Amino acid sequence: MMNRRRRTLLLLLFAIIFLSAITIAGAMLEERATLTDFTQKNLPPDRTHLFGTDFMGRDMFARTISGLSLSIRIGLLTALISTLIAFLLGTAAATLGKGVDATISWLIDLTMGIPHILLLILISFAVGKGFMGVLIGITLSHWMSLARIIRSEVMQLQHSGYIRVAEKLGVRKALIVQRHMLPHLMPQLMIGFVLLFPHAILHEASITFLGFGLSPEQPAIGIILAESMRYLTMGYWWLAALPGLMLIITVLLFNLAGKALVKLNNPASAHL
Amino acid sequence: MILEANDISFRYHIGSAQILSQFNIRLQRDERVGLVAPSGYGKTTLLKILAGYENADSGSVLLDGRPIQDYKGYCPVQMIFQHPETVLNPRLKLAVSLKEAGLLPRRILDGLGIEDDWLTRYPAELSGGELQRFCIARALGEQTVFLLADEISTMLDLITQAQIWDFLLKELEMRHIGLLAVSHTMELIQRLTTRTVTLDQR
Repeated sequence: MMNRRRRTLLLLLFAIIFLSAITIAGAMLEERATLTDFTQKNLPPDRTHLFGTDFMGRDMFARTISGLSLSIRIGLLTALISTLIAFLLGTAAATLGKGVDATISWLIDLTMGIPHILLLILISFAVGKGFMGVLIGITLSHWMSLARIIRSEVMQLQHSGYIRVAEKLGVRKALIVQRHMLPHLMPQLMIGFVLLFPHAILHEASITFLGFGLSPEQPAIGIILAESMRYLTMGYWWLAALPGLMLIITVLLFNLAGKALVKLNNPASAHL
Repeated sequence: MILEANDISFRYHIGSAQILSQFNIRLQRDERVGLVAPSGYGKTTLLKILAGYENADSGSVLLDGRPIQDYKGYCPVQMIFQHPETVLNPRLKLAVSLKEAGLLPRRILDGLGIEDDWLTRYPAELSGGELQRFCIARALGEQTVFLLADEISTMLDLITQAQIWDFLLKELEMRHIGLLAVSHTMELIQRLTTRTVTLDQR
C-alpha cells in the first residue's frame, strides 16, 4: 500500500540518505579534490572524470562533492546555533515581560530589515572572513523568523487553558515546561532547523562566490563557481553547470525534507 | 473558611465594556450558592477572578483574609470550566492530566462514572461529556475548599446530569466544600443551592 503519508516518509528517507552520502563521500574525497595533475587539464566529462577537470587538472566531481559536503557541514553547525538562538530569544521574549519582549522584537525587526546578503557580508567581513566569518555571519542572520514563531507559540501556550489549570493545581514550573510546552515546541524547532539548511547553504555559497567567505584553497561550491566564471566563455561549460546543478539538487532536497517533515507532523497543513 | 470579593471592578481592555463594577460577594464553606444572570453579564469572568485566573482592576478577592493570588501551589479555590476540551492538553493521556490534581480516591472516579479504559486515551478520543467528568474529578483534589462550577453540566444528557450532581452534592457535603454554581436552568439552581445571587449591574 502506498498512501500519501508513506510516500512522504519515503521521500524524507531518500533525502536523508542522499544528503548523508554526499556529506560522508565529500569528507573522504577532500584530498582528491585538491590534487592537481597538469597533464589532465580542462577535460570535458568522461568516465574517469565524471564532471571533467579544471584548469589545474583537478577532478571536478571530487571538488563538487567535497564542496557540497563542506556546505552541508557548515549548514549543520549554523542551523544548530541559529535554532538555539531562536529558541532562547523567542522564549525570553514571551516569558520575561514587556521590556524584554519589546527589545527582542525590535532586534528581530532591525535584523530582518537589513537585506540578508548585505548583513552577511558585513558580519563576515568584520570578523575576518574565512570559516569563522561564514559561520558567524550566517548564524547571526538566520535566527529571526524562527525566533518569531517560537515567541508566539510560547505566548499562546502560556494562555492555554490546560497550562493555567496546571498552575492552579500547583504543578511545578519545570514540570509544566517539560510536560506541556516542550512536546509542543519540539516539532516547530525541528522543522525550523531543517528549513534553515537550504538558506544557510545558499548563503554560504553566495558569500564565498562574492569573495567574502571561505578562502580560495578550500574546495567550496562558491569558490568553484567563481573560478569557473573565467572559463565559461572558452566553452568549458562543465565547470559551472554540473557543480551548480548539484548545488540546486542539494538545496531542493533539504527543502523537500523540511516540507515532508511539516506534512508528517501536521497532516492538515498539506491542504495549504 | 470564607471566600469574599470586595468592591471588585473588571474590564478586559481599556475602553472595552465594564463587566463588573464594585461587585461584592461572600461565601461560607458550608454554603451552596447559585449565580444567575443573562448571557454576557460576566458570570464566567467573576468565577475566573474568584479562582485567581484573572486579576480584578480594583477591589480584592480574599480567602480567609489572604489575597487569592498569594496562595502558591495547589489553589484551594478550584474552577470547573464550561468547555472541558480547552483545559485538557490534547497531547496527554487523560491519566496524566488527572494526576496533576494529586492522588484522587477511587470514590471520585466511580462517582463520576469514569471508566478505567478512558484513562489511557487522548482527549480527542472521548466526548465532551466524558471529558467534563475528568475536569470535575481534577477540581476535587484533596485541598479544595471552594468549587466554582461554570455551567458544567450543559453538555450532559439529563440522566447523567442528575447522576453527576447527585454525586457532587454528597461529596461537597461530606468534605465541607463550598459551591458557587452558574447555570441557565433555574430549576437546577434551585435544586442545588441554598441561595441565589444575581448579577445585574450593567
